[in-house]
Amino acid sequence: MKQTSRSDRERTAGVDDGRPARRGGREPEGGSRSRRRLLLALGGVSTIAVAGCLGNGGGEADGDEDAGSEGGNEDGGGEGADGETLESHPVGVDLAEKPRLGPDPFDAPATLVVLDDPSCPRCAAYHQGTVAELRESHVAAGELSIVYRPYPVVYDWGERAAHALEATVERDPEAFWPLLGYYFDEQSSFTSDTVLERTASWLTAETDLDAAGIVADAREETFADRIETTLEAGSAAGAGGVTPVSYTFVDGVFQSPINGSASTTAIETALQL
Amino acid sequence: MGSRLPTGWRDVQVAARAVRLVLTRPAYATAAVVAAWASLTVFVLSGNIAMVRNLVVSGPLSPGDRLVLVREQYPFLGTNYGTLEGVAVLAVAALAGANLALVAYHLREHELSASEGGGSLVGVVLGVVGAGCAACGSALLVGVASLLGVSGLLLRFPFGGLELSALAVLALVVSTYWIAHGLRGGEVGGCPVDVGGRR
Repeated sequence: MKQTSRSDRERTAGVDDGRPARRGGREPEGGSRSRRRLLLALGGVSTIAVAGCLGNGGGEADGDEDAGSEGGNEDGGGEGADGETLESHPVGVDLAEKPRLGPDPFDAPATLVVLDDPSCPRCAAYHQGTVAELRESHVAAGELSIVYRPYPVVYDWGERAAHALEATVERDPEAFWPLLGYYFDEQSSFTSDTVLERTASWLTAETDLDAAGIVADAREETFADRIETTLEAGSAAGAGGVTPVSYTFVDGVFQSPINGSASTTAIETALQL
Repeated sequence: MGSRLPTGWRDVQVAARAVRLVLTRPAYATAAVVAAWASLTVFVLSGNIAMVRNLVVSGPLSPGDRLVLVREQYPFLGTNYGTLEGVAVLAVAALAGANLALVAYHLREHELSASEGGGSLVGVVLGVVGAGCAACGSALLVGVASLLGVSGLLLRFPFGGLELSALAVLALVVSTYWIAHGLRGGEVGGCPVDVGGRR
C-alpha cells in the first residue's frame, strides 16, 4: 500500500466533513507516475474491451473468415450490406423448405429471416411481441415475408425441440407456428427429458398430425441435415451463438443482421416499411 | 483483506456521501451524466455492431431513421431488454457514470493509483458483457466464455447472464468505496489487491 503523509491526509480530510477537499500543495512524489500508470491501464483495458467485446461484430465485410469458429461472430453478422442478395446470402440456403409467413421471400418487398432457438428467452419475447405485431400489419398487407430457421444453440432441450419442429414442418408447415408458440409460451417448464413427451401430448391434443411419428423422427434426428444446414448458414453469416438474429432484406437485397429481440419500430425502420 | 472491503452500512454511507459531495459540483455532475450515457450507449450498441455499421453509420436510411435505430437499442425505449435486464443495465451505467466522475475528481484533486482505478474498468467491462447478455440471452456468453474455456459453466447461469450485470454493480460499488476511502484519507487505503511492485 502506498504511504501518505499527514499533510496529504489533512488536505483531503474535508470529504469526511461534508466538503470535498480541494487540490492544494505539491503532489506527493510518484503521483504523476501513478497517474500515468492509471491512464495506461485505462487505455489498455479499454482496448481489450473494445477488441474483445465490440470486435465481435467488427469483422471484415467479406466476413466468412469467422465461419466455423466456436464463438462465431457474436454480433450476428460480419457481412457488410454491399448488395448481397437473399439468393447468395448464407441464410438463403434451402429457404424454400422453411416455414414462412406472408409472400414468397424471394419476391417480397421486404424479407426477414429469423434464426432463433425455442429455448431462448429473448426469442420468446421477440416472437410474442415484434413478430406478432409484424404479422398483423405488414405480413397481412403482403409486403413482408418472415421466414424462420430453428437455430438451436442455447439450452439442450432447444435442440430436441428444433428436431420436432423440423419433423412437424415436413408434415404440415402450418402446424409449425402453433408448436413454436407452445414452446415459447411454456418455455420455463421444459427440460431435455420432458420436451418430446410434452410435444407428443400437445400435438395429439391440438392437431391431427401423427404425433408419435413426429416424436420418433425427433428422437432419431431424422431431419438433422436441415438443422445442420441452418447451423452452417448461421456460422457462415456470422450469427455464432447469438439468438435471435434477424437478417433483413429489402427487394431481395441484404441490409443487415439485427441481434436480439428488436422492437417492431426497429425492424420496420431497417426494412424501410 | 476483509477490512479493505465494504462490510457495513457505515461503509456504504461513506461511499454514498463521497458520491453526493462530488456530484454536487456541476462540472462533475455533468461528467457523471455524460459518462453514464456514454457507458449505456456502449453497452447497448456493443451487441449490434454490424447493424450500427450497416444501417446507422452507412446504408440507405435517412438521418432520422438512423437515430430511431439507435434509440430502439436502449432499455425501455426498445424491446431488447426485459424489465430486470433493463434495470440492471441502467444501474450499471449510472454507477459507471458516478464512479468515473469520482475517478476524474480523484485524478484532478488527488493522486490515484492504477490499481485503485482498475475497479472502475472491471465494472465497465462487465457491464458490456452483461448488457449484451441481457439482450441476446445466455447464448452470447458461450461465445464470450469460449475464449475463457468455461462456456459450459456460463451457459447454465440460471439468470441467463444477469449475474454478470450483478457482478458489474458489485465491482462498481466496491470501486466507489475504494475511491471514497481514498478521498477521505487522501490515500489508496481500500484496495485489497496487492499489485506486484506496489508498496
